[in-house]
Formats: sequence, C-alpha cells, structure tokens
Amino acid sequence: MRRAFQVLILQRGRNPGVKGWEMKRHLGRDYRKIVEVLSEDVAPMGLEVYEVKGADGTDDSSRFLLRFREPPTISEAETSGIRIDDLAVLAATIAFVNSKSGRVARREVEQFLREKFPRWRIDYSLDRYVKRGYLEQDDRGMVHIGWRTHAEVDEKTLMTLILSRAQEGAKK
Amino acid sequence: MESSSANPFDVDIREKILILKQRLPELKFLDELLVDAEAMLELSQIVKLQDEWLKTRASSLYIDPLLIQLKVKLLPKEALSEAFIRSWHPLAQVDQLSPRGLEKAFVYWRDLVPISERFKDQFGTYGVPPGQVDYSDLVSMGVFTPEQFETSLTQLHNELLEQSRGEWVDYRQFIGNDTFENKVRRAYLLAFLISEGRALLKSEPLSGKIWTMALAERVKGLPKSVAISITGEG
Repeated sequence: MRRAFQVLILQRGRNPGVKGWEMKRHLGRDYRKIVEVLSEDVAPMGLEVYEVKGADGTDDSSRFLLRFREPPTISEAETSGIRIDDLAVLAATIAFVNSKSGRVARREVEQFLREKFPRWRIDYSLDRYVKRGYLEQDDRGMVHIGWRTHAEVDEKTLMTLILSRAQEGAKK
Repeated sequence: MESSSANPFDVDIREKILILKQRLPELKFLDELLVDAEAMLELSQIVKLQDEWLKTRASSLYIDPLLIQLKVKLLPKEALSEAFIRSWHPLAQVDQLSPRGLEKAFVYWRDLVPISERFKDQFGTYGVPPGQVDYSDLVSMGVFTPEQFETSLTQLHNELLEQSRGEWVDYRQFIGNDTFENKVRRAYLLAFLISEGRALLKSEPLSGKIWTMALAERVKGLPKSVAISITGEG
C-alpha cells in the first residue's frame, strides 16, 4: 500500500498521474484491487484515487491520480493563489466546448469569451490552460476538453451549477 | 468540417460515397486513385465526428450553446469561478528534484547561448558599423573571382584609354549613370587602376569637378587619398 501511495504521489515526467501499464509494472497484475483499498485508506485525509480513461479505453492507457475527494472551499481555493478571472475563463470555456459537442474552433471560443473578458486575458488564459492540460488544441485550431479537466472537474456538476446560478442571478 | 464546429450531419455521406463509387472505374492513374483514397479518408473522419457528435448529444453534458452563452453572459465572473471551484477536485502530488531533472538543468545551462548571441537568428544584429571592404573581401563574398577582376580591370583601362586619348575626361561621366550598382562597380575598379598607377585623377575644389585620364605606361609616385562620394542619383 505504501508503495502504491508513493507511486501515485510522486510526479514523474511532465504530467501528473500514473498510466495503467506503469501501475502494473510497479504493483503487479492485481494493481486495481490495491488501488481500491488505497482509495479507501486515503479517504480520512480527504483524498481519493481517481481513474481517467485513456483515448483507446484500455486499462493500460488509463491514468490514475490522487485527487481531493471533495472540492475545496472557496476560501481554500482563494488562498492557493488562483485568480478568480482565470478560473472564470476556464469555467466558461469548458461549458461552451461541452455545449458544442466537445469541439469548437479556438476563434469561436475567443469570440464567445470576448463578451466578458479582455482580449489579453483570454489569450493568456487559453494558452496556459492548453499547456497545463485542462484544454487541448489540435493542429486544426479546434479546442477540446483536456485530460486534466476530465481528471479534476466534475463537468456535469459544473454545467448544472452554471445553469442554476444563472437562474438565481436572473431572479435577483 | 474538421476545422469548424459545424454539424457533421450536414454532409450527406451516402451521396458522396456513391459519387466516388461511380467515378472509381474511370480512374486510371495513381495520382487520381490517391486523391480518391484521400477523399474516402476524409469521409471516414466525418463519420467519426458524427459518432462523437451523437455521443455528446446523448450525454447529459449537452446543453444548447445559445442557452449556455446566455447563462454565462448573465453570470458575474465570481459566480463562474465559484461554480468551477465547487466542481473541482484538485490533484494531490509532490514535485521533487530528481537526478534526471538535475541533469536536464545542467545540460540546459551548459548549452545556453549567451544573451548577446541568443536572438541573432530571429532579429539579426543591432547593425554593423561602417568599415572597409577590400579586394580579398569582395572575392570572398563572391562579387568577383580573381580572373573576372583582372579582366574587368583591363577592360575598364582600355575603355578609359580609348575615351581620354591623352586628355582629361570627366570622372562622373566616365563611371556612368545607368544603375547605382554599376556606377559603384566602375568607381571601385577605377580606384584600383589609379592606385596601381595606370590612371590619374585630379580634382578642382572650387567647381567640384573631378577628372581622370588613362596612362599607357604604369607610373610610380607618392599615392594620395581622395574621397569621392557616389550617390544613387543620376
């Protein structure tokens, strides 16, 4: 269990998380059972082991990550130095891309965001989120949801919150 | 289709495949068959997009884009970021300095080009101060080969001999006024002839006129420098 925790917590390479084939190599063929137990063991610390399916859907391509079991409070998130504007850009982009069947031209995203954010912040934030894996941009200039958003963000909850908050905002 | 967010079902795949099928027997050359195969590949990509489109529409994540645009417009930035935080599960990880990372940093630092050299490829230098270009520089720059230079010198000397016939001729008229490059080239060659003692040069400071004359025999004397400006004007 200790080994499984160490494998997951230490970052290897550029991206966080450990691929299924690496877990198999480090923990053996029954690594999924170990991961399940570990996920329960880290629960008192507010963590869980989360699996993000790879592009081909195989066990080997899945990525395993340690993440917060529950979202942080607003004040916790604010003290981590994240800018409200940056998060707002990401939230709006994820919602827009999902509403456009998961892929949308970058210029359309920029046009959409321009109604709410200054141009310099849009360029800066989009580039940063592409670099950090929250968004993906292919060679045709199409924006997709990145693996990191699938790993960290409960997209259904986000969409629901945006819709319900907007209704509250409209009522006020 | 692949570089826009248009509806992939706008393309009638069946119709396009039938067209390709009808045309296939007419295709004889490899190039035509390759283009045909490429068209087939593009159609298969659109079918893939249709599959993704259907999956997203069927999932609970699909919401009308116009509705989302309206909702996002209504929400203040703070509410948007709050919605994000409430659906966010940040990753837990430890960043550590590994021997491999240390090695990468060392190699980066070792191979880092000094800042004065770094951007020369993109932006060039800050300019080169004026300097002298001599005969060997011109040869190394490929402006002349040694043979061409000697031939050109002899030609120009003969031309000057022909024109001057023991008399002074106007320097500026002689170097000509067709193109600036040619004018500079003739002036450079003439300066060589004068330095070698195969031509003479005199100037009239009051009128600014400059005269030159070819010599049949090479003379030796004390060399004297004269600066003559040549402009691009005629």
